[in-house]
Amino acid sequence: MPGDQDRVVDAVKRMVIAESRISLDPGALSVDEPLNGQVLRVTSVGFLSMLIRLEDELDVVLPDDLFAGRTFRTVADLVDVVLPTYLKEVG
Amino acid sequence: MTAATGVETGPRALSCYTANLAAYLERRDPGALDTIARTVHLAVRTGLPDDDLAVSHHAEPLHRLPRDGELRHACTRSPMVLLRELREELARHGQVVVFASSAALPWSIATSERSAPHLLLVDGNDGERWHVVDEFSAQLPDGRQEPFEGWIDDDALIAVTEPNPTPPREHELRDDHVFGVPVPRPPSGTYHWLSLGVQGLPGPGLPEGWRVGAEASLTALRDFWSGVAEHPDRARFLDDMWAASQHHTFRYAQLLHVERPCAADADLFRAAASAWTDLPMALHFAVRSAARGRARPAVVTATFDHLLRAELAAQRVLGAYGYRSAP
Repeated sequence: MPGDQDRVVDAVKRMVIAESRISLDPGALSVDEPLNGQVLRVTSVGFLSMLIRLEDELDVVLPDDLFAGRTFRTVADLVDVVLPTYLKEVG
Repeated sequence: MTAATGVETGPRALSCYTANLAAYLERRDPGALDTIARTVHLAVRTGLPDDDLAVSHHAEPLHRLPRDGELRHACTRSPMVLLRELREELARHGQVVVFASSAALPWSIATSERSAPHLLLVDGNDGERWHVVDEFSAQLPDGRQEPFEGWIDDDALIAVTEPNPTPPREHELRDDHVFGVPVPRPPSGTYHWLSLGVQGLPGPGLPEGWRVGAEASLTALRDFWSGVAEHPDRARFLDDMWAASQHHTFRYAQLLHVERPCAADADLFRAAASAWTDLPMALHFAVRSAARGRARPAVVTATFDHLLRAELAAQRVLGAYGYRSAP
């Protein structure tokens, strides 16, 4: 559902912007933006906090294999793990 | 968060214990760092009283120098004796490793709540000041810890090495196994350093009851950490898991850097390093989730199962490069 996807993408973007301690309109952030690059600076510690806040904000339980071989390089990688869970549990 | 293929290969890639001990050893033997990388292992002991966890990271005891002696724990309750003994050790060997507290280091970002034992290298004294080297570097919960090298005076050295009269059990266990095998530590409440002496007879190694090697140790740890919701006090051993992760990612980074393995093997090593990198994050996630009333034992199980598969796949070819691949 487009509305559900928009909500997840918006939540993820707001989280990574906040974790990077920058001021940026979520709409101006590409999902292809690296989590650790010239724009975003998400540390491993910040990443962990973000996962927990995403669970709370979207009222989802992230998958058990969250740390079992997944690679999170871009905003889209994070959306890809959150969205299916959100659609299954909430959408 | 992602694969650890870009991690550093020097002492800075190691843990808060091993980084400066490795720097000490490397100054005596340029091949020491490579030896440490080749002999990284994981052995654990669970089922201890009070639900303690003991961890060994080194298959070859780090205190036994291959060419020239053995490092032994030394201690005193007097700060003046500490300064005198350190000057004498410097006069004999040009460097000495002292036990410090991370939060007491002026350059450390650690808060007193998160303070932990920290080995520090001292390699100079001009009569009034001490030249200290801290190779430790890592992304910590409080921010990025950068290495340090500089001069501190007597008072500052005494302050950073001031002993904790009542250290928590997890710190005692870490001190006990700092070299990879159990070596009795000095009494609590004493200033503490490592003195280089003549090598003695080899010790007996790890006693009965330890789970040695990837399969046995990771299975035991999977069971231990799966129960963190029921046993929240186990979170006090998170730092030990982080150290295991650091040592193994260091091993693979060193291997990739020095040995230049074939592409297929390199992929196996990168995958194992990535799995080790993710382990502490998964455990922190499980601990924080449990604290919020959301027990996630399946996250722990999935992470350890993935790590074990990746580690066993890498170990099948590790031996061909001269790296330890079996208990």
